[in-house]
Amino acid sequence: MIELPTAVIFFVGAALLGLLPQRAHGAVMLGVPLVALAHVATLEVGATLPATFFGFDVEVVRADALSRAFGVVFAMAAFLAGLYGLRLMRTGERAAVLVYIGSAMGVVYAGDLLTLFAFWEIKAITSALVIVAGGTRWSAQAGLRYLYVHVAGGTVLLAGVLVHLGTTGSLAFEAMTLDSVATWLILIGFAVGAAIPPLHAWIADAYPQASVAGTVFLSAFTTKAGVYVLARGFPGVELLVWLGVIMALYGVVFAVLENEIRRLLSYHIVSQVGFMVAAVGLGTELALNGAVAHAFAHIIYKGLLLMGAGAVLYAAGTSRLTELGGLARRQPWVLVLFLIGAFSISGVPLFSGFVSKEMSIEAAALLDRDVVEAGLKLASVGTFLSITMKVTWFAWFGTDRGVAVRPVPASMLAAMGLAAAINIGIGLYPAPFYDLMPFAVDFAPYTVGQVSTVVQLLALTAVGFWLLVDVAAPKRALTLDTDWVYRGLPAVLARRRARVAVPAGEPAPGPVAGLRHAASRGLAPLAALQQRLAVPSDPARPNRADVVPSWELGSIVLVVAVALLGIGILL
Amino acid sequence: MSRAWIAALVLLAIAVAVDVARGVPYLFPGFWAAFGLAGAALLIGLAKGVLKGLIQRPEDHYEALRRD
Repeated sequence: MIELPTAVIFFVGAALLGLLPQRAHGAVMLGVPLVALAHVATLEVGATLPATFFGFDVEVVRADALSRAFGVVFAMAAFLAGLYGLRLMRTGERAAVLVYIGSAMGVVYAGDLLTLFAFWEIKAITSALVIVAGGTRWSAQAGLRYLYVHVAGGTVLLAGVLVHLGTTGSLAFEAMTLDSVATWLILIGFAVGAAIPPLHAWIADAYPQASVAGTVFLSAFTTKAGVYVLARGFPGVELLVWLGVIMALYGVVFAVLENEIRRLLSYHIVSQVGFMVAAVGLGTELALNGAVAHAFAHIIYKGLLLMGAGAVLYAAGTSRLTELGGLARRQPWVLVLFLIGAFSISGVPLFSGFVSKEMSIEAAALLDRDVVEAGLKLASVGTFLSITMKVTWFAWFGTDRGVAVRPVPASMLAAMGLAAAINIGIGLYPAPFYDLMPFAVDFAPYTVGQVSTVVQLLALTAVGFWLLVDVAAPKRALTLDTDWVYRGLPAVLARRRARVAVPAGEPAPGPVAGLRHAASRGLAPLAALQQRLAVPSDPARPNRADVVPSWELGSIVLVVAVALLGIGILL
Repeated sequence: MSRAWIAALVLLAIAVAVDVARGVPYLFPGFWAAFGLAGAALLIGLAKGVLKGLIQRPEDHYEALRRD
């Protein structure tokens, strides 16, 4: 197979959407991932594609076992989500999605930090477009916030790369240690992508605002590219062990509070990526295999769960648990398929999460890291509690609120069925899955001790849920998170300033007002762009783009300016 | 129905509770069952008992902040 960047296959696919008639677009969305899968499966380990870029020697492709595992699962996820969105997406959203996936592929095959950064930024911009394509004014607002958070993260990453180049003279992307300003900056840039708290709030803010299909695409690539770069760049860094455990617990606690299913599942991305980040920090071969295996399984089962949530939203017009209940008889297949995803993420034996998650926990146990092991087990309790028990009970059982549902397209169910089959296949027969891992796997998941531990843990978690079901019931509310710093704080400060300085009824004078005015004018093209990208398939969320409030843009411009100033000082 | 489920799940946990002396110390057979029950109560208590009052706001919180 030629050593072509896999990204190019997706970029060509996006271009084809512009050249081919609309009726061929579905074939492009399914064909491109299959071509990419064939490409990554046959790309030999050790293959490279060196090039020169502005005088720098770069390596556009560097294929090894680690990048292959991510490349294979990225192509699979692209196919599954493409099938799911076959009847749902417009051309603009499809093009953004293909370039987004291509750039994520570019990241996992990048052999140097400059190539990595280039693909990292394309990924940020195109994924923001996928969010904006959700088609509501909330999508536009959340997409913009997402973009600026990721541009700020990318700016810090670029600063790190440049300082690294200046001090070591090397752009090679290899394992690093936290012994310089450069590597700290690179780690912070990666941490934004992997949604490590406190840099994680963009995920629950933005992902639920994308379209039904858009969210499924988003869940697969951004955070997992973050896990990949951490596994490549910072294996064995102790800080990551603790950040990972904190993430795993943070995500489940917020998920217990959440009411909207896609927001709840977004917090579970934070939690599950926590398992991977902790495993990367542990750094042994078993732990790194565990991180990659869990990333792989997570992409498939989280895709399935978000497909299920999307099927509820599509059919019922809402995905708030407080407005659902009793859907089991009206949506039996969606329930069954969602449950397969729920059992997978919860690590129930015979499902994919069990054979992947237990690897990381076993790695902690073998290193006598009792607190880490217990923390990850507690996160498993929270996962089973808030997805398998809470979402299933309050959406499909519980009080029947008589919500009318419309049938979902067969392509959505087919994608869910295929994702469910893969999850069960990995759980029942993990050998081919383990063969994809970066190191030879010396781990047997189905031992008496492991199965016994998990069954005990989950059975009594279910009992705990039954006993406290009234307390655990969701409430209609917004949970504040660290995004308050850029969503709430500027408004609070502006209000305080206005109260002090400006008489009632008069506009605030000075540069703030000027910036607001300029920003609101600058957003008109975005509103127009959104109209072109917007998806009209969601009955609950009318296809209408309002202008994004200017104070948000102003505050985010400030963040980027401070980041750029930081680079200037460092250089 | 829920009582029958609880009984079935407890019986299942008892049936599989075997002692494996490795990892986090096994203080007694069924340690992980107790861990699951206590963990579920802890997480629900932390979220609904403590955090709910501290960080939950009406759904239109940010819009309301902007309107003011």
